[in-house]
Amino acid sequence: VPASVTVAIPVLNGARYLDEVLTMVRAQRDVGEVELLIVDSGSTDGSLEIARKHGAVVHEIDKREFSHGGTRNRMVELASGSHVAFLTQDATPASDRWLASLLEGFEQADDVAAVFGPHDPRPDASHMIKAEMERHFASWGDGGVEVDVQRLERSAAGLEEYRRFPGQLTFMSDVNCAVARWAWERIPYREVPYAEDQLLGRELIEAGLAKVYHPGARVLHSHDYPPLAFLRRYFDEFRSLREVLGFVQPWGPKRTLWDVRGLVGADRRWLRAQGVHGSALVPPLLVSGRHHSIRMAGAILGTRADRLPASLRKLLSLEGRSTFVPSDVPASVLDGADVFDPDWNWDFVRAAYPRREPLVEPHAARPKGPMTVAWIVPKWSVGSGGHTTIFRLVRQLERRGHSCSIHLFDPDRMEPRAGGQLREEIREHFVPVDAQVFRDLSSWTGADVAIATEWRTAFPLRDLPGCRAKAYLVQDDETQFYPTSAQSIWARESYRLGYRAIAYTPWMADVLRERDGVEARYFECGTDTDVYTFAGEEGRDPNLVAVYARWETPRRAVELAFAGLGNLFERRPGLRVALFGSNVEVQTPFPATDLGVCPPAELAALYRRASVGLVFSLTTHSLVAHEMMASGLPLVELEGANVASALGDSGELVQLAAQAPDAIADEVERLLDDRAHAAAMARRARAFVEQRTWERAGDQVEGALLELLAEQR
Amino acid sequence: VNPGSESTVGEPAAAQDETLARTEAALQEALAERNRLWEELQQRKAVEADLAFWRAKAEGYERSRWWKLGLPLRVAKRVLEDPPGTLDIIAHDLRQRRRSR
Repeated sequence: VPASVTVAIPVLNGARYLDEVLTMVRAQRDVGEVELLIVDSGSTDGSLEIARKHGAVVHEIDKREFSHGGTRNRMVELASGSHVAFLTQDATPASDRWLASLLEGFEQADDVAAVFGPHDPRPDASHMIKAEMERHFASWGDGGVEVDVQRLERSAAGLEEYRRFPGQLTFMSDVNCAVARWAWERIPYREVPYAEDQLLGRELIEAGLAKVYHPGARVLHSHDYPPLAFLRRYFDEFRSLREVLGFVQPWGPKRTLWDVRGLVGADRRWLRAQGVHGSALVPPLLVSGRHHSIRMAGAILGTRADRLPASLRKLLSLEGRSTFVPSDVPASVLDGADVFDPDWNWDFVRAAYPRREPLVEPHAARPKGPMTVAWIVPKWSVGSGGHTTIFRLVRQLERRGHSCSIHLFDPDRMEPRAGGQLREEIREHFVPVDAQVFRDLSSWTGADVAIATEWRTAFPLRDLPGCRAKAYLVQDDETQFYPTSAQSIWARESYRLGYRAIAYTPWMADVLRERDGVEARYFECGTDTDVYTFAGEEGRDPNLVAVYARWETPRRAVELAFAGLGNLFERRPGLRVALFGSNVEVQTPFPATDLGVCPPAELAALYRRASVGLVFSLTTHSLVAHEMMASGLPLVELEGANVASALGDSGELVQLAAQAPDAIADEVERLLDDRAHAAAMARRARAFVEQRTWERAGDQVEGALLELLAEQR
Repeated sequence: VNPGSESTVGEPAAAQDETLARTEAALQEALAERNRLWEELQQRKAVEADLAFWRAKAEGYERSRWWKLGLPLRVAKRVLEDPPGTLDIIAHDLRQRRRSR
């Protein structure tokens, strides 16, 4: 229990209940010394004498100086307690443990800034008021009976929930609450004419502090007015809610009638619980209907007071105020402005810091046997080579008795389809996998091994639970996909997240080891030699060049291929070019047939018909090149470590060209002219590809995964 | 017992091998069964996720202004196509509402 506490009450002509209120404050136990502080703004009904009789420290201020927020700030300044409990002049503590309960609330956690308690209606309150207050305070603490610590959860789901039901967290009533001085020093009351307590509640919660509901801190407090006065009172209340918090009561003929009906229904249930049944319900429910209609009218008019003429505002106001003055209050998470948007596409990167190791479950070295493997993949389009490789590897693992699942990671939220539809697409256009497909990570259940397959997927995978090992399948040096940018930094960062890599090609594994210090194993792609069957020279069109022209992917250097072919066109006017690999229309500086994205069977037919293939990749070795090699299509590729690592640098398997238009033209022309050389190269290339099967790739990846699991962690 | 004799070394070693093989087979069986259960779980999760997806989509349609505007046309179509069936549906709706109260 803190050393000292102040009970602070602003008073103006409150003699009706003040003696009762102060008697109960003085009767509080288990709280040590209590300072009683009254700020009076011009009472003429003997309130001052009552306050002094109870030993209160009394400060008198001019009525014009009073404001709900400003005066309460003044009271905290005047108070000596480390905690200040606020009451109103008509709120009587319901027990001698009221203050102890409020203080108990602060002991729930170190960050509790404020505590509030329920209001019990006075015995003479109407059944509507009684029912409403009971319902209202049952919103917290499991029906209003438990201590409830409230904090704003800053996850996307937490913020969404907060926006839908802000009052669940922001509600504060300084009719009956206490604030910690340290919190008030950080976030004082705003000097607003009304709803200062709601605003304080919102600011405390949005600042990340906790607020507590304590059922033991009850007070007796309720208002009852004649119907017309109720309308005017509600008009004032809701006008202020609009001025301060921007709240607007939704309305519509059907909606408002439905709301009133709901409130009357709630009153009916309450009356029944009190033993009122049958025809005895009719009179009170008629009163309920009138009351809630009036309340709704006051709320609708009050929150639209800016649209009413000043004279009407004055007429409708119980205070007689004709003005409408919106308060300048700080921006809120609720406004959606000036606050961070948790749905931001790149938030998965932001959330990955500070750096930490991938979360894996400690485990003993696992014996060989069927594994469960979860693959996190980025969004794909039909024809994507990288995804073809991933799904083929999934299938290879399935054929070896392992179980797989595929989880799409789509931070841009561009995928409109369900998991079942995605699965159908994979089975129809890629590989007939058995794995279930999920459109996001929300159904994650864990697996023996989880595999990131692209730099973005590496970030969310790190903290996903239920995995014994986590790996990163690196098919490409993705840092090179971007110009110098945040994305290039993050792609590089994905290699430093602590994953062990399974790289496509020994070259990629070397890059990861040497440049990024990653523990890397490798696999080499297979080729579907059943689809891409070998064809010799017979039946080939002597002037046809097949060009992989996915020009929207810069690393494919399509413009460089076009420049080379441009040179060749000047030398050989009869040249014919077939483009494929992209559904985006491309402008070529020479006549060409664009086949777009083709299914494998059509591609295989093209590879068997053309005389030279042209496929470039600056960052890895292309699967398309393997398929051309399998089909017996002589091939020109660019010189580079990525190609040399996969095929050697002797030029025996493909024709290697320097990265210059004339060199490319020379090599294509050489293959077109020297068909004996081209045919011999094609035979060697086919033999090479035949050794690199998908079964072999599957063995390599399976072996790497089993190795990871065999290590005790 | 002569530790060097064939009978004391050979037989227990064979028995050990057999026990090892049996244990290994049981382990593989247990792992396969665990995988089967995992696949079942994935299948169930996938169905649940798809159900939630389509439900949300349907709710979205039902909340749309166009859907609400089309209500009279849909009711009229239903009445014309199947008057008794429509009455059944209305009666069922009323019963449901009463129950939910």
